[in-house]
Amino acid sequence: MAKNTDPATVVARRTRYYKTAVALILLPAVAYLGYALSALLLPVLVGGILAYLSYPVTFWLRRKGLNRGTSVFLFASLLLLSLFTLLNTVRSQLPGADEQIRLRTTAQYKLNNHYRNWMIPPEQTGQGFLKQLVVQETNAMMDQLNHVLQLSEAQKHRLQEILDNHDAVFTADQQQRLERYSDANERLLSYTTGDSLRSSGMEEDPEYEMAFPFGESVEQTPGTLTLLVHIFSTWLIMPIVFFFLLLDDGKLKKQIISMVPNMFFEMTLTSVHNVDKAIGSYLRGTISETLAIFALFLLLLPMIGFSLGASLLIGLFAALTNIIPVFGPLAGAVACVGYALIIEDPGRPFPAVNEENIIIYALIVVLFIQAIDNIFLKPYILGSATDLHPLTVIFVVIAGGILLGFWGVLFSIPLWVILKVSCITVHKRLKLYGIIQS
Amino acid sequence: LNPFWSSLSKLVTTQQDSDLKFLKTVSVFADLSGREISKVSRLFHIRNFSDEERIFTKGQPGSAFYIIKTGGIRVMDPDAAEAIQLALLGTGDLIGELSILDETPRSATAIATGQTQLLAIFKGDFDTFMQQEPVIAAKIYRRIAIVIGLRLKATNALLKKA
Repeated sequence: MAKNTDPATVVARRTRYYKTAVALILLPAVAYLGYALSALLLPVLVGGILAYLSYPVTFWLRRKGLNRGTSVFLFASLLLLSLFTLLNTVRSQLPGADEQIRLRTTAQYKLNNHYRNWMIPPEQTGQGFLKQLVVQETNAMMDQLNHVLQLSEAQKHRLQEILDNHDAVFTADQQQRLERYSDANERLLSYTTGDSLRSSGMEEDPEYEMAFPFGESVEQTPGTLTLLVHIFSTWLIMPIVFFFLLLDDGKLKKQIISMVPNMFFEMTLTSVHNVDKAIGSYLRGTISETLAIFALFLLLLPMIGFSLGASLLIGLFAALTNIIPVFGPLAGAVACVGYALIIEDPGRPFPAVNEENIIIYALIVVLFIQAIDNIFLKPYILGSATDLHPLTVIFVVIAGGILLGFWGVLFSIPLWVILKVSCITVHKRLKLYGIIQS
Repeated sequence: LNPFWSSLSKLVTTQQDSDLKFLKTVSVFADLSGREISKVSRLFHIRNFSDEERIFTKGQPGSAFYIIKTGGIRVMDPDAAEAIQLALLGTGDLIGELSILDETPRSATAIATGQTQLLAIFKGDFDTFMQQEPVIAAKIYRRIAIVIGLRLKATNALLKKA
């Protein structure tokens, strides 16, 4: 068959070869760069999401008559100030080294006390096989918890110093209780083997070292300066991305769309527009929901006797984890009820609340907030975008954790929702424009 | 000034001036000042089509309208027994303007004649622009209404002849 030598066909053929060659070279290069610069992925993502979420505010400011530069500068200053204030407040509420020792000692004592009261051995109560099974499992869990809560040698040394010196780190009453709890903790026996926890040798077992989720060991914590340099070298990109995208005014989007072939031009524009609308409302909804949950915890926990600091930290934790469906609310509830189990001298806005029954009130608060979230916030703010099957949630959260650690666990569901909405929208548009068959 | 930057600045200014001159000749921007046109021009997507390339097809959802910068467009009805050429449009003409009003399917097929450069405005972007610059958007809408009216009159005249 004779080769077509028409100049237009030759040029078209040459262009096709050129584009294929460029794609063959560029794709592996981009993939390699993406892999090599994976540490920058999260800061770029956070900067992008922040800019994306901030866009409606700067748009509103521009509608009010401010120019682009001023509106971005004004909003960014307010955002940074709010973030700085929030972080500073949270940091000031985090327990110091001595307070951590007190909290761990108290937690270990109180949790064991509650456990012994609730899980009376079945032979004493005459209860059956099922409870025996449950007790066997929970015994092992309690042993693990005890190893996590046990003080390190350095902390024990410091506790002894506090108890010996009476140097007014804690009140006399707290000091007395701390001594009692510490003595009781020293006498604790393993629930599974019956050995003393100290003599069982598990205390020094590296397996029981407390670790960050997905294996980032605490032991590897570098010096502050190294950490700062590391944080600055990677996270410096975040504000750059944030400002660049806010000031860009859609030029980047236009550049990307200019590369789309004519055949897909309108389809791409509408897909991007629809995905933008859906994701924008989902992300803004998630933030509104998180803020509402945080505000409710901050309002209700002090009413049942939690300190303001504890309410702030628990509220923040519960609100952030609430992003993850199914498991998030559970994590928030565990934090809230767990603190209620170890609380001492709760403030008493209501005379009915005391150390013994505060757990019931904590449960009521958690259930009340979850009811508000599920009846009012989720249906009206989020819509159906988060209707995910529990199995999908498990898989996505685990995958997020493996790929990106703790932040992966937290942000896996929003990322999954973004991916899901994008795929569905693009697929629908491809069919609508007749590019693929219905 | 450094000669390099001076030449570059001249080049950019000349390009902007020529774009502005062209846009002032486009009927939908006739009521706009130079400053207003430069605000609208941020919405443009520049698309290049080769000869006989389809711009859009009858029945597809319409989500953008186009202004012909260079080249030309044949508007066809492909559903007729023999494909009918409805119009032949050239530089400065508008096509797909109905899509800015609603998202009903395209009423005809548009095909490029020769190398054609179009300026596309996406409906979603124009809706956002309308919130930001309602006065400019109102002027454009008025001009689009005039274009649609003129085309309706032309169609009526054709129907009377037939």
